[in-house]
Amino acid sequence: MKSRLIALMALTAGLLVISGPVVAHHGSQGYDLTKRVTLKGVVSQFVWANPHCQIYLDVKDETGKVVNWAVELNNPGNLIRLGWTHTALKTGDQISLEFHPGKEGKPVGICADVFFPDGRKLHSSQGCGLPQEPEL
Amino acid sequence: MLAAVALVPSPYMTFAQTAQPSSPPKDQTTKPLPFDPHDLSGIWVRGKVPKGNAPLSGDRPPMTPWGLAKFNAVRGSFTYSRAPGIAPPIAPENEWNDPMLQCEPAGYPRVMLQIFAPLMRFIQTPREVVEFFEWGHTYRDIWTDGRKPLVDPEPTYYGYSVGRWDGDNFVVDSNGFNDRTWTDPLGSPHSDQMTLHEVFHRVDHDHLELVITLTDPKTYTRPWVSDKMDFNWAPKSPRSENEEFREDFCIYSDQTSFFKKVDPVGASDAPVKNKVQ
Repeated sequence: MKSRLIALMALTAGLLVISGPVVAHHGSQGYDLTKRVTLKGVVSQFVWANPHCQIYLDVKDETGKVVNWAVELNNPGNLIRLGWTHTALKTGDQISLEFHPGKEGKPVGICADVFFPDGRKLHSSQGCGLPQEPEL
Repeated sequence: MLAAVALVPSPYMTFAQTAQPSSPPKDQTTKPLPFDPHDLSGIWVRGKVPKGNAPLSGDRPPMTPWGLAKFNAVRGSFTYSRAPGIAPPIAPENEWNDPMLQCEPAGYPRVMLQIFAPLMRFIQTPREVVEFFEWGHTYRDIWTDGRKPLVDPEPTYYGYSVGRWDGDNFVVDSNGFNDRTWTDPLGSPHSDQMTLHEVFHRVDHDHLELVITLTDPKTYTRPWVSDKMDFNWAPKSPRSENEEFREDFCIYSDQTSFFKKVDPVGASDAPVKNKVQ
C-alpha cells in the first residue's frame, strides 16, 4: 500500500512538473475556452517553430468544401517536454483534432489534442484555460 | 501521459523522489553522488515553482519617479497572483509591448525568469566561467581571472560579469547593462545603472541555489533581493530532442507569421509592432 502511495506521489509530482510550466499567453483572449470541437482531417502543414508550433488541418465542411484550420500548440521546447518531436506530424497524416475554437467563427483553435488512427494521442497544453502564470 | 512521464529525464524523477518523505525504492542507493562544490559544470534546470514568468521576488522595492514612468508604459501579458499589484493588469492583446514579442533579447536577469527559459549550462575554464542559456542560444562570460568590474563598460543585454569563489559560494558581480530589457516577464523596469550581485551555491551533486540582488538607484529606492532559486542538475536539456541545448531562437519572420495566421484577435501583429520605449 505504502509503495503504491509513493508511486502515486511520484507520478503526481512528475505530472505537475510536466504540466506546470506550460501556460498561455499569446492569443488566448480570442478563443472560446468553454467549447471543445473535434474535427477529422488531413494535416496540410505542421510548423515546428517559436513562438508556438502550429497544425494546419484540411477539413471538409458539411457542403464538401475544404476549410484549412490553423491550430496553435505550445512552443517546441515545451512540446518536447510533453512527449512530442519535430516529426510528430507530417503532411498527409489523417488525424482527429480536439481543441478550443476561436470566438468569432474563424477556423482557428488552441489547446489541441491529437488522436491518430492507431490509437496514439498527443496532448498540448497551450491555452487550455490555465492561469497566466504557473501555480503550485 | 504515462509515456510522457517516462520520457522526463532524471532531474525530474529526482524531484519526484525527493518530494515524498521516506522509503526510497529498495533497488536504489541513497548514497549521495560525489561532487566538487567549486565545479558548476553541466546543465541546471530550475526546480521548484515558480518556474518562470515570475519576478525576482514579490517584494519589489518602491520605484523612483523615473522607474515608475517606465513601468507605467508597460502593456504586458502576464500576472503574478502571489504579489497582487506587482504586475499591471493584463493589457488587451493589441496593446502588448513586451520587447521579447519582437524577438529582442531577454537579457539578464530576465532570461532566468522566463517560463521556458530557466535553465543554464556552465563550462569552466581557468580564466572564466561561461554560462550558456538555451533561449536565444546565447551566453555570458563570467571572468574569474581576478579582474575588477569595468568602470564604464559598453552597455549590453547580458552585462559585464566578474566572478570569484568565496568559500563554496560562487559570487558574481555584474554591471554594464543597457536599459532596453524588462527585468522580468511582468515588465519590472531597470536602468543602465543596474548592478547585480549573485551568489551561486552548489549544495550537492544534483542541486544548485542562486540568490540575485539587483541594485539600481535610478529605478528602485532600495536593493531588490530575489527569492532563493533552486536548480536541478540534468544530463541533457529537457527541452531538446538532442543532448545539447535546443537552438531556441525567436525568429522575427516566424513571429509575425504566427500573429497574422493563427492569432484570432483580429490577426493582430500588434505585439511585434508596439514598443515600450
